[in-house]
Amino acid sequence: MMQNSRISPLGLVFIGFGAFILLVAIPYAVTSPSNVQKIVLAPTFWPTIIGWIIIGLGAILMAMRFFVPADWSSNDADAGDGTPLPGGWLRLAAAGALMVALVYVTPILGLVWTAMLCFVALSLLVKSSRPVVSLIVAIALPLALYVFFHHAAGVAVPQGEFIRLP
Amino acid sequence: MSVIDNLSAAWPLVANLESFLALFIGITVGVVAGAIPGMSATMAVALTLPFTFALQPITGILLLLGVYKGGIFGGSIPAILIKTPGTPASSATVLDGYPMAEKGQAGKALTMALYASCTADVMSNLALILFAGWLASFALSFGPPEFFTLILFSLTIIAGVSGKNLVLGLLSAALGLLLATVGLDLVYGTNRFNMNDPNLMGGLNFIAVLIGLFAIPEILAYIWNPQERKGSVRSLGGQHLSFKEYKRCFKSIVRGGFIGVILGSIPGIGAAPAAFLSYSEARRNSKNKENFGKGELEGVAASEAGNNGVCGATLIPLLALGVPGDVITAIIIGAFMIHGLQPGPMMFIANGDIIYALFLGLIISSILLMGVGSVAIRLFRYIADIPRPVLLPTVFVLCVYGVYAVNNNVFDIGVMFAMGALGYFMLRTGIPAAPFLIAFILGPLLEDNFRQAMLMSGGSGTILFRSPITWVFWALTAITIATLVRKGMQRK
Repeated sequence: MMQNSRISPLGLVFIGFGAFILLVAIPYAVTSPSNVQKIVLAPTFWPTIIGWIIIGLGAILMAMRFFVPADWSSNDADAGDGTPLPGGWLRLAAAGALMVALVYVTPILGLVWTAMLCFVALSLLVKSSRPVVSLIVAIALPLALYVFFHHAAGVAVPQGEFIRLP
Repeated sequence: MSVIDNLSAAWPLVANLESFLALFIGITVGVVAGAIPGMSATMAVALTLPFTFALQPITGILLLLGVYKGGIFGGSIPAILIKTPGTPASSATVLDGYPMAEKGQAGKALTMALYASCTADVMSNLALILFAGWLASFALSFGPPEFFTLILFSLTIIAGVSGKNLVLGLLSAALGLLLATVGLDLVYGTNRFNMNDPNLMGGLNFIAVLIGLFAIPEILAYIWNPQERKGSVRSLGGQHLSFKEYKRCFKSIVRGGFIGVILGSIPGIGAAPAAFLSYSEARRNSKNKENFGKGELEGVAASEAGNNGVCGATLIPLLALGVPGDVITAIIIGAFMIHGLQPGPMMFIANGDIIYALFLGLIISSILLMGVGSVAIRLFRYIADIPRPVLLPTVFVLCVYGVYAVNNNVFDIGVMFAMGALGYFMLRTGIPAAPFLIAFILGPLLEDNFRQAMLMSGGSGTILFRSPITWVFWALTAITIATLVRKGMQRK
């Protein structure tokens, strides 16, 4: 469960994020034509309103630290079962790297082979207690999905530069 | 066209092998997914969505509705057998279901859960058929200002999916509204947060956002703490449900069905509150009220009738007004859009046959649920034994293929992972993901109708108060907000 002590920095994060939206993101990333007659019709109007809402809610979140009991001011943060195993951050970082790699490797190896490798890598990451089952599924599942999406649904599944499937 | 004409036009769309197969597969997938602790009906619907692209719209949507219905029932199986609700809607079922399982009456509890679910499901479907068309014909007179106020009111559904902290729910919704603005401006066609990247000009892919928010965080949570579920599966026991016992509980089932229908048709309340209200009403009116919580069959019947009574009713605002009743119907609204259909009053005129085909499909699904559910009860031991180290990489690969298949674009997979990272941050900090998704879907509709109204009035805000309909929605929004604030003050 998230305590009030964590609610308060979160409020600050959202205030900062809202300010970033209003001061940086909207001026640089939203183009508004110069001939807009009414402000309510401008492309910047809606994002500006949302930016202010985020700041306002962030401020309320910070204020809740002082006025609201801890058990009401937080939602249950269910990030896993029981006491976490050591090395969680390392595993998360590895999973993040795996995801980034998947995006860049898919055009080179093809989706089927990349998915197989990712399955095996994830199984290793969580130390699968049934390696043989994991290996069988790692091979069979991407192939089955390839057959469905490529042949039945007509999706052009990326084939990669090395081994091409029929 | 009359209801009879519509039904006869719709019958050929449903009376074919594809539709029956779609419903059967959907219900099976839903029951299995609902029965696996760690999966949920929402995740199952999200993962099934990409598989509907190759299907006809009616077949694809029936598949998703099958998953939805199966998932809600499937959640009751682990609730009774391992004291772990498969879905939040099954939380009330644990109260009497698990004590029954401890007494060796799990088979009886599960059969009652199935019969109560199917009975309430039929009631819910009938309510949908009776009221959706009527509501849609009323909504035909809506213009942009009326739709703006309706959607604004619908955004108060966020209150229902925000958990204990409404502010965190509202922040989540604000993030969803913000991300919905990515792309090209609706009126001027200028860039908004798209960095001149062609991949972002059409906005963020709905499926990538959806799967990123609901499936990837579960995988990351497991990677953070890869431990198997603790606890044992109870046996079904030798006792079976008799007709006399079903008859004894029938009143509670019907009452629960009505509660489900009423709460389900109001956007944002959802199945879990309906199940608990139905349970408490059954307890209040029962002759065996002292047995509730200790393994009372009527308690199982009432809670399951309450949560399944919601299923058909949540489709009333979806089909009649184009407004999702909960997270799963928010996903289903996305499925309609992907298949080129826009739910709402106009759909009753332009695609009346599809609407009525869905009605027929839903009635058939209640019968199929009975068959699939009976088998699933017996096979649960095998379903529960699927090892998570195999299951979650499987879900990961399904996510990757599914998201890629939407636009044949690897960029969308990157969006899914980015949303997954955001979803995991939200999971860790207790920010609910459901308001994000609902706001992401309703955001463009809200802005579009607001700006259309402003264009109509030359920028004058008075148009948003032009008719009694807008006044009603403003009043409902104000009442909802006042109630929430009052509730918050009372808790304080």
